[in-house]
Formats: sequence, structure tokens, C-alpha cells
Amino acid sequence: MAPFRQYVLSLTAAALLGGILLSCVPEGSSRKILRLVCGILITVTALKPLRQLRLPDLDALTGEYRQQAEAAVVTGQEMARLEAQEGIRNDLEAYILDKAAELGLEITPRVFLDESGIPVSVRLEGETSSGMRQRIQTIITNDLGIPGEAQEWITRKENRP
Amino acid sequence: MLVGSLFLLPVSALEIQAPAPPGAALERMPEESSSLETGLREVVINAVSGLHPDLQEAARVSLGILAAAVLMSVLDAASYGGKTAVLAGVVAVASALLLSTDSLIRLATDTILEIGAYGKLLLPVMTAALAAQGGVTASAALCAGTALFSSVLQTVLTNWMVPGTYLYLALGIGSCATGEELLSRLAGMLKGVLSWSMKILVTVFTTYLSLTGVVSGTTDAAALKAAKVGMSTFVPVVGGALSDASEAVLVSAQLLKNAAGIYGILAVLAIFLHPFLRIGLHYLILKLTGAVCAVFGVREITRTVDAFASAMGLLLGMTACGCVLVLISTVCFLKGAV
Repeated sequence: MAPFRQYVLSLTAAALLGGILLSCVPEGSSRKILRLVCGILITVTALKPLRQLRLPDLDALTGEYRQQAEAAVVTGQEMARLEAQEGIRNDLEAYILDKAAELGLEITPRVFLDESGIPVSVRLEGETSSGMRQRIQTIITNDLGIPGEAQEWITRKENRP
Repeated sequence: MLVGSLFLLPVSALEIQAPAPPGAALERMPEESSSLETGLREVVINAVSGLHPDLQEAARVSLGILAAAVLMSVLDAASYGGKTAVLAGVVAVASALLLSTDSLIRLATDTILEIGAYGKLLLPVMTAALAAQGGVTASAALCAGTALFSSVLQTVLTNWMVPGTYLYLALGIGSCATGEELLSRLAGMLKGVLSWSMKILVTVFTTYLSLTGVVSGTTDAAALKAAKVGMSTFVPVVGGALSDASEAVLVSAQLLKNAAGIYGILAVLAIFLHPFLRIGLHYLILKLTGAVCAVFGVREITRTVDAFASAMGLLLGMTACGCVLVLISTVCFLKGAV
């Protein structure tokens, strides 16, 4: 914008100079000549810089702002994804707890999700008989879509030092 | 890095909070910002409460100008002084007004820069909030457009319009002192260019936002609908959990976005209102002074005072322009529900 500022400054200086000179000269032929000269001076000052006028590179100008916008959007999407994952995990773990309670089991589930929030594996902690373990695993496979090999059991005996 | 630093240590994943305004504007913020109506009332009251010193100063300067007008009128009635007296009168009035006008021009510039700086902090927060709500396309378009227009406006206002205001004053004073029509016409042309530039910028910006809202809103709605359809292909329990979590996130994001948006609007007004009212007060008093000077029939002094009043008018327009840009974009983010 410095060229614009220079342009306006030059134009105004020429106009002020012309105005002051004209006010100093009394009416007559000399004033008319001076008026003509001032007019030519102002016209040249006004039109001369227009030859050097170049349009700005809009692509470069907008590129930076597009990048900033995309970064902010990605941040928002990531926040939403993490929040949604937290909610999904809580819902699925509560479901497993409900089903375990129906079977009279006391277990602590921990569900693991993929990027899109789909459950991919589960870790179950608690003491159960093999029959009950099989039943809860079947429920998890059928209702949550987690295959048997992705279900990890940790008994409390294994946790003791 | 600025965007990332806003979300360093979230209590929950969805931590969206509008930044606090700087310095004196923070003191003018309302106690409670959950309600826009209550907050607005408090911001306006706080903005008006500190105007008394400006009223006193403007009245003092105005009385000085009226005294000069009375003196000029007496000299004119006594056919004494002629052109020299006119020149002296114009110079005296211009000298009396230049100091206060200069400080008001700097006040307007600082206010525009502060609003722009705050807008740069608020924009990523509102963008992230709208993106979290599912408005991915709309938020990106609004953010990029607002950042671009805000940057252009800041540059135009501080590098061209503010110097343009000084030049308008120079031409106006020169025209009154010398009586030359050329200077008067150039001053009028410059004022017209400055006014129209602001109008065009705001018009283009609001048109861009309106079109962006319609086009990208449709895109985001279609994307959300497709995602919901996709969820129904999963096993019922998982599909239900996905759907419930998705709805909960949308609702949370909406609430947080609204809270951040309302706070942001109040913060921008807290920055803008007090300086705007200060300049507005000087503008009104100068207009009144010009009208009273006209009664004494001293044309040159009346025109000089009117030139300064017009400069105040330009400052009001520029400051309002900077504020309106940020406010309109914030409202568009608030309205950008999918």
C-alpha cells in the first residue's frame, strides 16, 4: 500500500501547490496561464503512476489464509473425534457391564476403538469360569462385532505380584 | 501454532473458549456473558460512563471556535482585515481543532488494529467450533474469507484511509484559507473515494458470506446425512453408540460455539463502543458548532469546522467498518448450524 500512499501524497501536494500559487496571483492573463499549467501538472501527476499499476497475486494472498482455515478446521474435527470416541467407549463399556451383571459376573472392560470409532478389541479383567467367559465373549462378538481373538482376558490372579 | 496453542490442556476433548479482550476493553466486559441482551446492556452502559471528560474537552474547543467566529463577524461588520483576517481566522480554528482531531485519528487507528487483532484470535476458535459441529466446508470458507477481508481492510484503513483523512483535512483547510475551488473539489472527491471504498468492501464481504453460507451449508448437510446413513450399516449396538456419541458432540459443540460467539461479540463491542462514542461525541459537537458559526455568517470558518466534522464522520465510518466485519463473520459462524 506504500505506492498508493505515495500517489495520494503526490496528488495532494500538487493540488495544494497549485491552489496556493493561484491564490497568490491576481486575476488576469497570468492567472489563466498559471491555471492551465497547474491543471497540466495535476493531470500528469494523476496519470503517471497508473502506467506502473500491477494487479496483486491473489493466489499467493489467499493461500496463506486457506492454510490457516484448514488448520483450524482440522483442530475442530480432531476435538470432535476425541469427544465422540470418549462417548462411544463409555457406552460400549457400560453395555458390557450390563450384560456381565445379567450373568452375575464382575468384570472391568476396556474397549479400544479405531480412528472412526469402531470397536476393534477389548480387554476384560476379572475372575470367571470358562463357561461364563465363553458366554460373555459370544455376546461381545455378536453384539459389538469384536472377534474372539481380539478379546483379551486378564484374571486378578495374573495381576498379583 | 496459534490454533494448536488454544487447545493445549483440555479438560474434556471439546474445549472451546473465546479469548478475553485486551486491556481497557476487558474492564468494560459484562460480569455475566451468557445472555446477549444483558451483556449488551452492560457493555453500552460501561462504554457511555467514561465520556464526561471528552464532553468537557469538546465543549471547551467549541467555545473557542465560536469566539473566533464572533470576532471574525465583528471584523467583517467593521469592514476590517479582509482576506488576511479570513486567513488568520481559518488558521486559528484549524490550530484549535488539529490537536484533538489528531488524537482521535490515532484512537480510531488503534481501535481498528485492536479489533483486527482480537478477530484473529476469535476466528480459529469459531472455526474449530463450527467444524466440530460438522460444518467443515462452511467453517473453512468463512475463516479464509474473513481472514482475507479483515487483512485487506486493516491494510486499506491504516495505510490509505487514515493518511487519506489527514490529506482531506489539508485540502479542506487549504480550500477554506485560499478560497480555491480546485482544492475544495479534490477534498470532496477524496472524501467520496474513502466513503465508497468502505461501502464497497463491506458490501463485497457480506455478499461473499451470504453465498458461502448457502453453498457450503448444503455441502455440509449432505456430508452429515451420508455419515448418518453409514452408521446404520453397523451392528445395532455399535451403530446406536456411534449415533448417540455423534449427536452428543453436535449438541456440545453447538452450545460451546454459541457461548464463545456471544462472548466474542460482547468483547468486540467492548473494544469498539467507547472509542466510537468518543469520536461520535466530537462529531456531533462539531456539527452543532458549524451550525452556530453559520448564524454569524462567517462562511470560511463554518466550512473549516464542517471539514473537521466530515473527517470525524470518516473516522466513525472506518471504525464501524472494522467492527462490522468481525461481528458479521461471528454471527455467520453462530448461524452456521448444519
